[in-house]
Amino acid sequence: MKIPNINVFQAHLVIDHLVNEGVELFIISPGSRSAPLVTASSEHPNVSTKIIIDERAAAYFAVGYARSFGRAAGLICTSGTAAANYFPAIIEAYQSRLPLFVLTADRPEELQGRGANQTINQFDLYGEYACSVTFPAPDASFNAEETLNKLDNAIKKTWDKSNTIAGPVHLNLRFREPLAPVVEKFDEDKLCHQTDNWYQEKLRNESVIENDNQVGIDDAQLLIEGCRNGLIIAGPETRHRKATSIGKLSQKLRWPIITDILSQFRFTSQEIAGYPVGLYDLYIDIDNLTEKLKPEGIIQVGGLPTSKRLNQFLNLIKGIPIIKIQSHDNIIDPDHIHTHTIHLQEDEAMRQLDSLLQPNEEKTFLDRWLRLEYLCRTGLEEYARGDCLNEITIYKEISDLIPARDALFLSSSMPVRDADSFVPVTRKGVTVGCNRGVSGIDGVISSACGFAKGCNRPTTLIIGDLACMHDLTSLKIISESANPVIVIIINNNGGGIFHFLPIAEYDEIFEKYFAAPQNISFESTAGMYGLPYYNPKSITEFGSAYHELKSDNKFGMIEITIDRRDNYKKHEHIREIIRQKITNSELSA
Amino acid sequence: MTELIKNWNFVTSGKSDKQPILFLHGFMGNANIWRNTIANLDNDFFCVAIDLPGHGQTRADLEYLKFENLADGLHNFVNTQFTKESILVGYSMGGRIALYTALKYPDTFKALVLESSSPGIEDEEERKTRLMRDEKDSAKMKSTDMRSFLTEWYRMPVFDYLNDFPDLKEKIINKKSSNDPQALAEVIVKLSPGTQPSQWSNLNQWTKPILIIAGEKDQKYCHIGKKMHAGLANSRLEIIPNAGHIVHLENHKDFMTVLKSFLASYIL
Repeated sequence: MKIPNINVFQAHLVIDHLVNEGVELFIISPGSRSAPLVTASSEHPNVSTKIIIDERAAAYFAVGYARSFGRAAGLICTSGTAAANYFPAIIEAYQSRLPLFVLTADRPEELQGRGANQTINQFDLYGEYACSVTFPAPDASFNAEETLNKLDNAIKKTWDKSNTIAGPVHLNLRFREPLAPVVEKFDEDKLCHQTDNWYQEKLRNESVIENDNQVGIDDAQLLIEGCRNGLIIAGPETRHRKATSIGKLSQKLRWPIITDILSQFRFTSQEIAGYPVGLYDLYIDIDNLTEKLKPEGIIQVGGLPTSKRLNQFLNLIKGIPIIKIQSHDNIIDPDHIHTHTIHLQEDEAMRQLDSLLQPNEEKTFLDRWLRLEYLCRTGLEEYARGDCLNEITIYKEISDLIPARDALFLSSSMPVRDADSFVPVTRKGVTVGCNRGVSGIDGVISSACGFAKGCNRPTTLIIGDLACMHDLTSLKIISESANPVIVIIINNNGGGIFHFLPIAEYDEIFEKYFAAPQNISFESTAGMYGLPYYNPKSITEFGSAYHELKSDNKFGMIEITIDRRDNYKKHEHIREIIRQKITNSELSA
Repeated sequence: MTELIKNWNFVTSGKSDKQPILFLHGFMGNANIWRNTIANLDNDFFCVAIDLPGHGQTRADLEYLKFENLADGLHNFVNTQFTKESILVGYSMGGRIALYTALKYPDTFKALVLESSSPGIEDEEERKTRLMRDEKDSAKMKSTDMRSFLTEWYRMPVFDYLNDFPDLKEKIINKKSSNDPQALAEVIVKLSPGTQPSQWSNLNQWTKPILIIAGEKDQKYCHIGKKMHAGLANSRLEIIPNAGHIVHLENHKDFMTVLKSFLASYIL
């Protein structure tokens, strides 16, 4: 392949390097200044490209893609507000520690700060949320080794292939005309020589990765040996590959695993041992149970649990050892509950603990958790028998209907909370995602599409009406997706979550400014994007709609119309049913 | 495989909108052994008792007579017969099939009851020995009539206690004499604990309620029951007094009490 000019040469240098770092997908938003990057990425034999017009959606797509299995995608856009539109997703990636390579095209130095068209100050545009480096427009003095050094340094700060650290990397690339791949003479031989030198040098210097920090495992062993009854908490972002070692330890210690809906343990896979529990949000705050459920020690992995009640419970039982295992040094402990932190990869720490610890023979504590779990499950089943489709039954139903090894993406407001409360543990190996880094309402549909692409599975998205409207243009991505995405819209005509907050008491401002009802149906929207549309009124009808889409392996939209004002009461009601059931059982004796 | 699944004979009792329970009999039994048990439960439950292949009116489809296929068959059966997760009750060989199936399809079943049963044989040597014995019995079955085979069968140590109850023994033998020895000769080998992959190491995968029942006179299964109980989470172990291997028959009253109490505390 002949490289036409120095702009494309630099673009190739960057793209090749990213491909070496494992990038396989570039998401391109159309523009002009970025033409060299588009040329280089579209010509590369080992990458695929995807076009998404709206940069905000493109970046969220990349976030969803990274969220599924931690793989990084590259984003390419032109200069100006295009680059600014990446910002929300970059913040989400930063907070969720997801890898992201952002390639923004920029105007050359001489056009900066003089009112040139489509030119803004893109230097360090994303502040602390991305590791940023600006590359001057290449000219006769261009040095390939220098460029690669800069590139490599930027990447090293936030990314290594083992994915122990991750975050967005911003590469701001300035280009002069010509932007199109017109042939223009440059010293290609010299630059190729520099490039080869640099890579050879790098290969020589690549040192063996340092061993993980071992401090703490022995202490943890002693602490855990002092506790017969304990819990393992698998928070958000505990990935499948860590699951086996966590499961094994749970089994050995007979400690239940509290499985956050975003932990990949709630839908655990059949091969993974251990004792996952999932409906704790429904019973953990029942008064006379706290003492019975109180562990003597806790091992925690992953992010902050979604369940507010679980976090309250952890606050309440302070005074026991709570050991957090994480390889990075971000603090995820708003309530200061962790008494010890082990700096190791979760699976490595689990394996070491497993080899050091003796099996626990005691099972009363474990049985108690599993029995509560069972009672709640039965309670939910009975409740669902009324065939009433609402924000409680839908989650139980989805967990029954979703095929094994599919993916589930949840919108960050009510859907993730409700799913966390009402989805029981199954052994289906479903991969679950949600933008919980900053819990934004934006980019949910595009993130779900990226998630589907990243894990290469059919995906079910559950989203509220407001979040859906916010990202409506991304429905286009669904109709083009190779992995069918089913969008389940819970249309309760406004922001349902606010009914759970004190603001709900203030009638005069609540409805207009917080609930913000939009009074729309999505039927014609579905038509506009060519999505088959269903509006089921009962669980049975929902089941057949979902089944119909699934059996044809199709994308589509299922809109569930719900009365927002009833919802809060329904949540209270189901909790009361569960409370009664537990009170009547031997467990409360 | 479809053949095997389609042609299973079964009896039902109770209203189909109630919680379903599926009953699996033991070797040489059939759906009828659960008659008294079901009569006590069909007010609150939808009871279904099945004739396992080679027993009662279900043909032994020899080609498919394997644990994996039985598990697939049962899974398919409950999916077509019931709209909700069922409870699986199995006696002896039926219990082994029940446990195997539940572990293969943990999301399909809600709770398990194993009467005088086991997860198979852990030790490979022991498994071989057992298979040899079952192969010998199989040959014997093919060459003699059912009645003399049964008389011989009930001389096994596990049935020693039956010698104190000659009437009962005679009743059991009479009941089973009508079976087809050719079919059973296949079943005894193909579904032998010597053929079955041991499930001991997979027990931890079952975290839903499980009731283990053994008769106090049945030392072997009391021991296995205790060992299973220790290896399982969320399990309940009941050793029933005045009963040996066939608990539901020998001490029906206490059997029903523990079964009902289990079902009530977890299921109702």
